[in-house]
Amino acid sequence: MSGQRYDIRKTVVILLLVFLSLTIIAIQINAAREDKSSIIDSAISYCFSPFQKFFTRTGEAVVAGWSFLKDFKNMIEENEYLKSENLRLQTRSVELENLARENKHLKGLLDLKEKDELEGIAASVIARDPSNWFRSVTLDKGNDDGVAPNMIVINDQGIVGRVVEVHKSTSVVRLITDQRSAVPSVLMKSRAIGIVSGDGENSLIMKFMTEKGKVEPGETVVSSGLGMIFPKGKVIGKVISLTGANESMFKYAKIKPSVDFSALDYVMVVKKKQ
Amino acid sequence: MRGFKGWLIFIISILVLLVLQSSFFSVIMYKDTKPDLLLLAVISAGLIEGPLAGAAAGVIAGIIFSFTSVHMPVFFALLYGLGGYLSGVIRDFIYPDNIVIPLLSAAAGTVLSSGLFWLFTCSLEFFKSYQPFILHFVPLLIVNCVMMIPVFLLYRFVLLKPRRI
Repeated sequence: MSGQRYDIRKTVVILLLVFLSLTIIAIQINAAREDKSSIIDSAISYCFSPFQKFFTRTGEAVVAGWSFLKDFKNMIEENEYLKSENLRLQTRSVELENLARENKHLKGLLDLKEKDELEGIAASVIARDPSNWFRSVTLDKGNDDGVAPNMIVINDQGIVGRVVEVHKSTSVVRLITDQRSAVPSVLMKSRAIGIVSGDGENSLIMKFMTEKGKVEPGETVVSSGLGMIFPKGKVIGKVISLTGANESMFKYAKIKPSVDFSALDYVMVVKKKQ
Repeated sequence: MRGFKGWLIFIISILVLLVLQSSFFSVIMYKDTKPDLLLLAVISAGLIEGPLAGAAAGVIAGIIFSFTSVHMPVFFALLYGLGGYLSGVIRDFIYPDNIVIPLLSAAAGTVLSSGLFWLFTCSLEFFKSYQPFILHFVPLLIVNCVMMIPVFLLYRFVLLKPRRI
């Protein structure tokens, strides 16, 4: 008799768990369909973020310590090189400052308004996608800090990605190296246009390239501003190689991103202009 | 997993592993690849507790995983559920006292889960190329096999402990 009662209790518990699982799955599917995060996502993200931040920083410290030990031999030699490089860059920096001033002056003369003044929110990367197949990162800034979906994320090296999910105090950014990303782009020299997306690794592919001039490896790729999501003129990377037969309509270019995604720590979320 | 306490411990351990996977192991990576700790946990649960508990553990792990990665709860629940069930079936034939069995299970689980994932996502044109799968496959196999040893020993200690009392 007691065994039978135990079986009924067990069945009820299993049924309740199945019901709970199905409810969670339904909430998740509904949230994914509407392209926004569910309340469970937000709650988990909120609870995880302090721990993720701690373990990410711990991991970075371990990697930094390991690289320090590994590079110790080359450090003195590198130091000398960096000193001379620093001197060269300082000279170059002065030259560039002068050029920028001159450029601004000329733009003013032509009555061109500066459109590239971006207002942003500084954020740090606290976690990465747990799977090996998707390329996204979690930032420590969310809805409370003014982050909104589709905002662009950049750093001093170039375009990082786009905000796809926003929680209360965190947000998820899909990196441009993800296969699902698409950035309308243009090559600086040849002016060939195309769509840059990730190859699932740490490099990029420029697809559907309409070639105007001769494209050569080493050319810089910048965002074209088409599509109104990514701002115009932000650096994406450099062309490594070209593929696609001569007779084919479109060519493909393999691009090395300007951003070092393996050492991504601080970024800026660009606020949308009102 | 015996009773409510056993399942609670398992769920907490899954959350801890997920945090580690998305933070610590995402920074310390071997050939740009991090271990699939959740898959290893599910395989360990299956090997220790049997096919039904393994499948249930896989479903739970899959649902939790989809909250922090791409939102495909049904797919991941079924994928990890299958992993847990199959490792439980292995246990029914060979008791995994020898560490080689969990290692082989981890290798087989990695092949199966990665293969099914890429077949599914590429057939839906979610991903356009198999290149990342090919490039990541061998490093993933290595890191999963290496990490299987501590994960399996930890689960054997945690899950079998209540039974000894």
